Order: sequence, then structure tokens, then C-alpha cells
Amino acid sequence: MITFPKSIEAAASSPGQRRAGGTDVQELRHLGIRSDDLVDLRDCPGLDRFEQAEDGLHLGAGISLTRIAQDAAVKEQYPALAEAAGGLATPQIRNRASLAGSLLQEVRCWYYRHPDQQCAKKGGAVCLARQGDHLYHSCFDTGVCVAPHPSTMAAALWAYDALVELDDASLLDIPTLLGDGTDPRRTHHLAPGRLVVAVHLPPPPPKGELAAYGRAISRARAEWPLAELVVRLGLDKKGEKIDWARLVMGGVANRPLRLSVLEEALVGQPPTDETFARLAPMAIEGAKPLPMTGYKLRIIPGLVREQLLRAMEGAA
Amino acid sequence: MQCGFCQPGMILSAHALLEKTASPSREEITAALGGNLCRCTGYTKIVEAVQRVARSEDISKGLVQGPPAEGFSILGARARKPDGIGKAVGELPYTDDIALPRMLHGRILRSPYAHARILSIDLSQALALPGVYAAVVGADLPKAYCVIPWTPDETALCTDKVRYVGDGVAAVAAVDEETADAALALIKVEYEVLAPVLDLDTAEKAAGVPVHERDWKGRPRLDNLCKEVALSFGEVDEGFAAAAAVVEGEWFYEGSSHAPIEPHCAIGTWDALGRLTLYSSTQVPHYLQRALSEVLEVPLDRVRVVRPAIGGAFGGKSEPFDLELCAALLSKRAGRPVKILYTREEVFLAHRGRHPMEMKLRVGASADGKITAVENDLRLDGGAYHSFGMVTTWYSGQLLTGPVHLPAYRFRSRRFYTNKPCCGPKRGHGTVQPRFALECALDELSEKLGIDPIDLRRRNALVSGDETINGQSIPSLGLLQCLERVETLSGWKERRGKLPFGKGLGVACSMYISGTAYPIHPTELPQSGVMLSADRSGIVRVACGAADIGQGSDAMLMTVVSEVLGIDPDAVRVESQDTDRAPVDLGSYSSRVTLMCGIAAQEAAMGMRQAMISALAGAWQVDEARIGVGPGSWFDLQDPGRHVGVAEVLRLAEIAAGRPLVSAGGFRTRKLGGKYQGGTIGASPAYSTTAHVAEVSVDPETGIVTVDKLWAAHDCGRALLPTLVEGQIEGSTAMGLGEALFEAHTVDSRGLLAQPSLLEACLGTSVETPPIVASIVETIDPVGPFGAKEAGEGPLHSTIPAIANAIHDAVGVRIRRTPFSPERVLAALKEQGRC
Repeated sequence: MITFPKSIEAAASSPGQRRAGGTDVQELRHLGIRSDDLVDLRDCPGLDRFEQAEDGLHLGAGISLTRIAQDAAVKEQYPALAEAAGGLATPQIRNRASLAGSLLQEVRCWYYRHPDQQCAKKGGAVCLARQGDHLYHSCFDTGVCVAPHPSTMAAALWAYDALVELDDASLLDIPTLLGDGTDPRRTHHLAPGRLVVAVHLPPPPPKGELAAYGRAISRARAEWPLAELVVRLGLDKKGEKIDWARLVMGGVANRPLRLSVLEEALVGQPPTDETFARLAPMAIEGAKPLPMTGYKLRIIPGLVREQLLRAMEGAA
Repeated sequence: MQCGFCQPGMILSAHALLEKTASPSREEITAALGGNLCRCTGYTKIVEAVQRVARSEDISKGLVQGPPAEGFSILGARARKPDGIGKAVGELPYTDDIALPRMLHGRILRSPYAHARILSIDLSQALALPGVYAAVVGADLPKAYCVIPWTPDETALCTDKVRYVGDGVAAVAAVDEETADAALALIKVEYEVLAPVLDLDTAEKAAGVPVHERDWKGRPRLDNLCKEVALSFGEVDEGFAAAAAVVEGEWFYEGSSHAPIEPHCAIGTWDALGRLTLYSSTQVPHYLQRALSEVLEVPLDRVRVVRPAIGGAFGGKSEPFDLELCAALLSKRAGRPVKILYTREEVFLAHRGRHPMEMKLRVGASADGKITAVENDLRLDGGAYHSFGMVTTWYSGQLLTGPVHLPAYRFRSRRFYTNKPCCGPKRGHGTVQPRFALECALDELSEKLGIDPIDLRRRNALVSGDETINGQSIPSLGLLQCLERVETLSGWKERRGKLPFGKGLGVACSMYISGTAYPIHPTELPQSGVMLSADRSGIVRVACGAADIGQGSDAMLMTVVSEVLGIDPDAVRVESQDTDRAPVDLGSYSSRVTLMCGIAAQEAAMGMRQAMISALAGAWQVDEARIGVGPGSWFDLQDPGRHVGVAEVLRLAEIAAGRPLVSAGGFRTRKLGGKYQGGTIGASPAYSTTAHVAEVSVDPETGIVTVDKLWAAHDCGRALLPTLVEGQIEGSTAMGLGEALFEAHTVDSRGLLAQPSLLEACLGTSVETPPIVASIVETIDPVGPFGAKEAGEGPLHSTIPAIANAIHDAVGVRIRRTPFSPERVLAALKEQGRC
């Protein structure tokens, strides 16, 4: 059964699977992974809000990724977020997919999506990908399930310290929403019955930033990344040293990874290719690849260096 | 436009782009179309069409849009496909667009195990579900079949064992798909699980239970060897002894699937007289008709196959499939029409795609770059059933002997059964894999000998009239012209070896058949028949069973008839969809249709033309030699002011004959090929040839290969319809690019398919498909109709080795395994100390 609640309160109190753009929901239902009632959010007011508030920009949960990618205010204040939104999937998916749906989508693992297979995420005993074919899976071991977290937007929003607003007006930060990856059944930790209604982005840094988003991908488009990276840098007044750095990596673990060690190492350094090339290998510290994902460790430093350089292009 | 299945989506995406951006760049167009997959075109013509609309060009002109080739009235002209508009507006139905009254929907229960015995199947709960009309199991259709008549090893549903994850076990027909799915969940199957055979080494060792425990004649089978072929030509050992340089190694070509955008679909229905009609998305209506007749035990004359528009095939719909047999049987049991539409996953499970192939190849050459000997030992991973397996095994050896001359050649090829989806004929059947190995080895040889790779190929080139070492005679071959064309277009001489590290150019060439002289069902009957009949309204009907799978065989038939009769192509109506109405053509495979149906159409049209000439000469009371033909009207050669429309000539001819004007033509098989066992396999009336140059960028840090541009020159004899020939070159090249860089069809350690969706299958989108420069070379073949030969498969082969060779030119590593994925390129760079 499909219901079309007319308010966020009604939607939050309706049991079933919530549908906004439906780009992932439809496939999960088609594969028989979900078969509960559908709660379509089409008629819920407020999910399309786009507000410049005192505490930053508020984006409604139902806003499409295309809008985020193309909006002038987002591009100016949160450039890597816009680039990430425009760099994932295909134009058709971006036109349909919602911001919250992108955060809450399920993993792409083919064991998970196989109708006849009971993997750990579906309540089975083991992660089937660990023993099976995991060429596109994790190279950091952050929990039982080794499917990379699917949400590019989660990595980008974390890099911008975004907060997720729920229907009960509470706010969650991205790491809390995603959890630590140890529970294989949870791709996110949104409590049952709760609904994401908006995402709050804090005001941009007063002195601006240099930012980039990029992905290593075997095809140019329409593919989940082998690794992806959101980079934000602030420079000192003269532009000679890195004041602060924010790097969040996706596609390599069952949750996005904030590269805190590398961030600290970058601070105080000159923003040059020499620095980037020297420090980029720190991005793979702590990695523990599976038998088939060792190649990602060779890709990541190149990706980090490339995106740091791309961010610096904004300084020129 | 080829199959047209993606066309409405492409038009919508293009429209949305042009609403916002009046003059988009190529990059903006490919980005906007990036979410719409197309398997036919390589996106080249689609991007061009968007550019033409953006320039406000009028593209709604008539069918023929340019001048014909010299000396012809329509041949060689730029022309729109006759089915283009109908497909664009959604008017021409594909099989799933057809809904018959009272129609049910069928679904097939598939095995969760790669290898298991079926102990019992209980349908009772499924049959008790409201809305379920029929349910069947393997025992209901026990007769084994195969597209190759000597090797029946497959049944409509499994009778004793399941042989791959996805093998069909039972089928249900119900009021809708949801009910049928619910019924499948109620079917109880008991299995005894067996150890699966999932790789070539396990298959060859044959330690466990073989995939097939009986052979095609019912004798016990102790191993997994499906077919072995070994042949030797010339003095191979002497050739290697005389070689100044030898390249030796092991190459591996990964399997891949056709992934037509239209999933397979079939509708079965029986009339009150007990006659079966089956609608199906098939490339081989005639073979399907035969299989239905044999398996369902219905006489051939009581089976009718209707082929609606097809949304792509590429070899993936060229044999009978379980859904066709099940739809027919379920429909009989239920007393209602039954439709079965594959899910996307089922399309990948039905597969019949490219064989994974392991090749141990050795090539020797003299110091001046002349090949002295070639030896190849191949293992083919065939999957669960035979399909075209015997042909694949032969082709993997027999079709390698041109377009570069092999003076001494030995091969052994062995196909093994494994517990995986069954492999079969994918575009360029059987030879894309060994071609990859040979063309890469030639590149290594040219490096060793210090000879330019294009020159090396020139020094070994076969030319028109030559015979290969295995006895295939080649009426025409334009390899030298193709090589020169891509050399010039790509700026090879100026640029190769002078590009910076990370950028490279590579070359490769290939040859392919235009149908085979030896059909699948040996017969003295013609391989192809065409019936023409004229109507006094002025139209000419062309009946021919050729399956238009998007490649444009209907357009080809229309053009040939239009040319011979001087009639407007709009007045030619092709009837090719119905086995009750059109003479047999064996099907759209082996690149046979243009040559064979074209010759049959030419013969039929010449017969009608003669009757028309006689009638007009009689009416004008002039000598027949004075009658001039078309275009558009017929005239008196000595008095060009005297002319009549073609409709009038047809009317005169009907009056003269006293009966409707009809004419028939056929393609009769001549004996061709070497005089040894297997010498006829790979023997074709004509051979096409292709040369590719690829330009690539390789990122040494990530291992990501980007193809920047591809040049393809293809010798198709004569381009009857140059736009369609270019479409075949571009589409083949793009499909080759996908196999080179992205695509794979593999299973994991349990036999689960690792690429069950279009996302995982990694098909190239418009974004990563680079500009493809398709260039037509015409050698005017002495056999083909008006000199035409193959264009649909040949231009795929050399794409892959050209890219591999370009990677070497870019970063100095040899990748001997497809696809050239980032992790593989990185590993090679590391191993060879390049990063």
C-alpha cells in the first residue's frame, strides 16, 4: 500500500518505507529486500525548503541533487558540496534523488542486493563479501560489513560539519547519523519512525576556503567510486601556509572516513605539490585491505594529491 | 538510430538540455545523455543528431537525404532508417509492448545453487494460490535441444540437475507478475548440493562430479571437456626455428555479456486449431520455430514465430531460450496467452556472451618483420551448456589466419563446461579473444624488431584474391587501405612515440566473415529467400525472414529492391516479422544478412525488373535494350522525354502477365573452404577487414585508462547505406572499448553472478565513449550484392588490442588481461617498475 501523508507529522507516524525520489527505494523493492508499505513524501510541505538562516543554509530533505549541484549560493558557499552533488550518478538520477535519500540509501553490495543471499546486513551470520568477490569493497576494516558506505553526500556534508534536522526538531551530526560501522545491519542510525526533514550547513568560513571533490572511478560516470575525497583548505593571510584542513574520504570503508591525521599534518605547511605528494600517503595509514582491494591503497595517495592540487587551483 | 530502444529517453534528455543550453558543447551533450545507456551506436550518431538539432538543421526531410554513389540511383546515399520515426514516437511495438486479450504473465523459478541435483519439486502450494493458472517443471518438456543440432544438452527447465545459479527449475503463469512471483516463492524444491566447477583448472582436472554426466548421445561423461579442436597448417616448427624474434606469453580475455537494452521477452498463444504463435525478441526466428516444433512436439507448419521490433541483440538472442519454450507450454496448459519478460538479472543469467578465454600464444618473425609461425593453445570457459560451443571452439582457431598472413599455424582449442551462465556468440563470435592476443603479440614483435607496428602489418598483409594458410579464399580484402586510412587520420607518423609519458597511440587490425558457407542445419535449401510481389497501387512488397535487430536489414532490403527497380524506397514495404508470411532466412548472426539476403533480394528484384522491362518494351513497341530504369520513373533511352512512373510500369507488367507480379530470389550455398575436417568452418563467401588506432591517456598514479579518441577504418566492400555502416563501425568500436576497459561477467566462489545489473555490468556511457572516427573503405567485393560485405561485427575486434597497444605506448606496460581496469594497470606498472 502507498500512502501520501499531507504533513511531516503524519509522515513520521506512518509505518513503512519512506519514498522521496525513489531511486534506491524502487530497486530495493524490486529485489524483494523491502516489501513493507510505502510512505510517499510527495505531498509533505516543507521538504523543499531552501533557507538562508542566521546559522547558515538550511536545505530541505527533499531537495534534488541537481538543485544542490547547480544552485549559485551552494556553489559559492559550499563549493565541494555542489561539486560532489554534481559528480555522482547520472543526470537522471540527480534530477530525481533527494538530499536525505542520498544520505539514507543502502549499500551497493551485490550480496546484499541478491534476493537469495542472507548477508550480515540482512541478518545473516557473516559478511558474504568478505569471503567472496569484493573487488569494489573496503580497504579499511571498520566493521563486519565491508561494503563501502554508498553516500557521497554524507562525506561532503561531514566535511562541512552539517547537521541533520529530524521531524522532532532534534539535530544530529553526520558521524552520529552514520554510526561507527560496527553494526553490519545499520547503514545509518536514524531511529525507527524518525524522519529527516532538513540539513543545516553552518556559515562558510569568513576568509573563504579552497575546496574540491573528486573520485577515482573506472568509468567516467554512472558508477560508485573506487575512492572519493572531499577536500577543504584554509590558508593564512599571505596564502603561504595551510591554516586549517578538512578531508573526508568515501568509497573505502563502511562509513566515510575523516582523515584527521593528515589534516593535522597539513596545517602549517606550504600548500605546494611537494607537501601534498609527501603527505598524501598518510591517507592510507591504518588501512587493512581485503585480499582483492589492496589496489585501492595505491589509488588513494594519487587521489588525495590530485584533489589537494585541484583545491589550490581556486587560489590562482 | 539503430534498435531505437533507447531513443525516446535520449530524445527527452536531449530536449531537456536544449531547453537550457541552445548551443551545447560535445562535453555538455555527453554529460546530459550520460544516464541513458545505448548499446548500438557508440553514442556517436546520437551526439551528432543533438548537434544538428542545436544548429537548427532540418532533419525531418525524406528518407533519402543525400546523393547516391556514382552510377546508382539510391545505393550509397545518406538515408534515414525507415523505422526511425515509428520508434521515436513509440509507435512500433517491441515484444513487451504487445498485450493480447486474456493474457497471463509467467515467471521462472531459478536455482540458488551452482551445481545440485534436484531431488523433488512440489508445485501444489503454488498451484493453489488464487490467480495462478499453470505451473510446469522440467519433466513437462523433457526433450533436450540446442541451436546446434548435434549437441542437444539443454532442456527448457532442468530435469535432473541445476548447472548454474539461475538455471530454470519451474515456471508459473498467473494473472500478473506479482502473483507469479508469489507462486514461485511457494514452490518447494529439494536439492542435493554438489561441488561446483567454477574455473578452467577445476574443469580440466575433472575431480568432482562433471557438469554434464551424460553426453549428447546419452553416454556417460567423465570429464568437463565439451569440444576439442587441433589443427596444424604449414611447417610450424621450422617457422619458429627460422624466426629472428619470438614473442610468447599467456593472454586472458574476460567474459562479457551483450546487455541489450531490451530484455528478452516472449508471448505464447495457441489458436483453436492447435497452432502455436510465439512472439519473441529473437535474432533467429527460424531456429526458434524449429526448436519449438521439436521440444513441444508440434509439426513445424503449426508453429509461427512473430518477431516484433528488437531492442538490441548482438548475439544474445540468437538461440532458443527457456522463456520462449515456457511461454509456449504455459500458454497451452492455461488456455490463454502467456507473456514472460526477463528481469535485467535474468538477461545476464541467460547470457550466451563472450567466452572467457585463456591463450598461450607464440609468434615468430624474421628480422624483416615477416611472420614465420604462430602457435596458439586455447582454453575456453563455456559455462553450463553447449550453445554454439562447437562453433566457438572452431572459430577461436580457424578465423585467425587473416588479414595478416600466417605462413605456418598450429592451434589447439578446448572448450570446458563450468557451473556458470552459458557462454555463446557475442558480436565477433569466438575470435575477438585470440585476435586480442595475436595483435598484442604483433605489437611486441614490432618493438623487438624495431619496426613500426603499422609497417609490420603491411609486410604481412593479405590482399584481394589471396588464400589463407587454412584454405579460406578471400575475394576482396582492403587491409592496406584500412591501415593507410587510420595512419593518416590519426597523425600516426607525426605523433607516435613522440607523445609525453602517459599518452600513447596503438594500432591493431582484424578480419571477419560475411556469413558462413556451412549453415547450422546442413541443408541444400537456400540459406535465404526473398519474395517480391507488386501491387497495382504502386508498392512492392519484400518478404524475407531476415531479423532486423536494429542493424537495419529491413533498410538494406528496401534499398536493394529500390535500386534494381528504380522505385522510390517509400513504395517498398518490407515484411520480415512473421514466419507464416516471409520465406526463411536463417537469422541475423555471423554477419550474414547483407551478403546473403542482399543477394537473394537482388536476384528477386532482377526477375521482377525483367518482367517490367518486357512489359514496357511491349507497350511501347520498342526493343528491350531501350528501356531505362529509374530513379523514380522508367524511360526510353533513345527518347528520354518519353517516360512513365514505376507504378505504371508495374500495372503494365501485371496486365501483360495476367496475374499479380511476383518474383523470388535465394542465396544458395556454394562449397567453400579447405579439404580437411573443419575446413568448411570459417569459410565465408567474403571477408571484411578493419584497422583501428587508439589514443589513450593513462594516469600512472591511479591506473585509470582514458581513451581519448578512436579511429576505425573498415572495409565493407561497398557501403549500401553508409550511415548504417558507420553506425555499425561506431557501435562495434564502442562495444570493444567497453570490453577493453570496463566490462566483465564473472561469478564469485559460490557461483553467484557478480554483475547482475546494468550498474555492475559497467557498460560505457556517452561520457567515457570518446569521439570515434569511422571511415569506410570500399573494395567492391566480387561476391557480395553490389560488392557489399560484412560491417556489423568485424569492427569490434581490433579496438581492444589497439587500446592495449596504446597503453604500452603511453606508459610502457603490457596488459595481457582484460579488462584493463585501474587495479590491473597499477599492478602492471608496479611489476614492471614504471611507478
